[in-house]
Amino acid sequence: MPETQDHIVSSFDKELRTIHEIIIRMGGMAENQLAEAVDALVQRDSAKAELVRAEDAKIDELEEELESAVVQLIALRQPVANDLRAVISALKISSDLERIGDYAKNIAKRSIAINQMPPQKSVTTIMRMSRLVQEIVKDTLDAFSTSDKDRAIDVWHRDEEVDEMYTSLFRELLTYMMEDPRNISACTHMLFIAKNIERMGDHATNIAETIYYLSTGERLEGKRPKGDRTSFQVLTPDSNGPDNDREIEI
Amino acid sequence: MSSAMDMQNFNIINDPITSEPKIIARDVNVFYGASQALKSINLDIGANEVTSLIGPSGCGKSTFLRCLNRMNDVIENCMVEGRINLDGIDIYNSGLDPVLLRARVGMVFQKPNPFPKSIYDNVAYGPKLHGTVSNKDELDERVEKSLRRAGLWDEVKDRLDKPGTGLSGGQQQRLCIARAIAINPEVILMDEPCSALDPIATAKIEELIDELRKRFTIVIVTHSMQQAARVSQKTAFFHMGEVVEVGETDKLFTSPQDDRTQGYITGRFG
Repeated sequence: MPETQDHIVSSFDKELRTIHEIIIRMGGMAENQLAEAVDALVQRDSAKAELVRAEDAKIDELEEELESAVVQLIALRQPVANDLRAVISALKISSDLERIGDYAKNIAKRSIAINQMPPQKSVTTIMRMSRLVQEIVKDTLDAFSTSDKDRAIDVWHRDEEVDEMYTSLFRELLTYMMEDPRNISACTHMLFIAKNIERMGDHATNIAETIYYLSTGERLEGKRPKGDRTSFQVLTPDSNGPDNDREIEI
Repeated sequence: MSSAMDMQNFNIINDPITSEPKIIARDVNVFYGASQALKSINLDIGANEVTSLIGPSGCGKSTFLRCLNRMNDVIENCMVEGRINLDGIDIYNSGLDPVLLRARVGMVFQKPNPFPKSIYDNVAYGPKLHGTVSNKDELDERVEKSLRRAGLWDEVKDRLDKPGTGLSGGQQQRLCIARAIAINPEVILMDEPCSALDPIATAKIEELIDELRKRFTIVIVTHSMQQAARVSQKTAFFHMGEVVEVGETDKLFTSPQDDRTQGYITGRFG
């Protein structure tokens, strides 16, 4: 019996399709929100940032809509096997996407503050990092719409790149702050923005794990690749730049 | 009787579904006249666990269930091939008396079928027939114990002399279970025991099944996926006379391995 075969009860299929479509819509919106938020930062466009802040409510609404569709389907259909995995996965993925949306909103908020300050050099690194995460989110959604476990595994591994980029940006920002304490305020905002983008990558990784479970019924085994080493980094006041910092491995 | 040699040959067949099988079925074929109802069934029934048999109508699950206590013997034109062992004894080819077999492998049917006798006599009938009690006190004790184990005692203790047929459907079914366990069987076969019952009576039977598996090995045929999922530890999916998939119930209902199983349990079959 191929997986794509329809249920005997056709309204069951309709409900499952609705749930699937909500996820696709949420994903598209979350991806777009990230792009727009970073654009607002790069172009120093506060009006655009405000728009991003307002748009986030729509993602939240979709999450609520999906939640009630899932609850209703579980109550009325008692799904099992791949159907059960589909609805549980949708529930998990929607909360990851909702978080991605929240981070985009936070970036937008911070960009409004940053726009009051002189232009920041680190913006280009943020831009590169955000492009990478956008790609990852997009690929994750493609993997979801086709239930493609290999693609999910690929995305899962790519989060390491994001973490590495974040680590290097962390160092860059510390350097600017040490060069001139007047940079501290803006750089701190940039650091939070970078962290937000890095967290989006983590949520995309979660989604990839969920997709793997959805398509195979098994958990994705093995330790998740990690490239974020900032928690072990110490910069002493008398060191002058990234080359002099000490890394403490615990 | 099956010889030691037979047993050795038998153990070589390596299709273990459970480490402590109570019943082992190997290469079982059943024919009703010219039509084949079961095709080369290999299945282990674990001791002290509940095994549910699921599958669409006509898939052979009830036929298989009835093989386990030779209820098919009485059906004309029915021919059973292969080997079914109960605790290592071949139940078809060892000269085992089917009546004694059925004392060890009891059965509960879809429709409650109490005898047109009192509640007490319904339960006392088996022990009296098999002579497993020696006096009235023992019999009283056996009846009470069986009714207690079937979760019916408190509801009927004041009217044991009333007809069993006067009870509600759910109570009648529990009376039939009490009747089945009164002769201390080792295995209880249940053929859709809840399909004629309301949800409350069903829940009581399911609770009872869970309790009974501490002492008995239970095989249940059910059309309710949820019931199979709720009461059993192992599930076997039958389709067109074959066992398509068998495994841990929780695994089978979350990630079945065979597309036909998935199609059936999710309601896509057809």
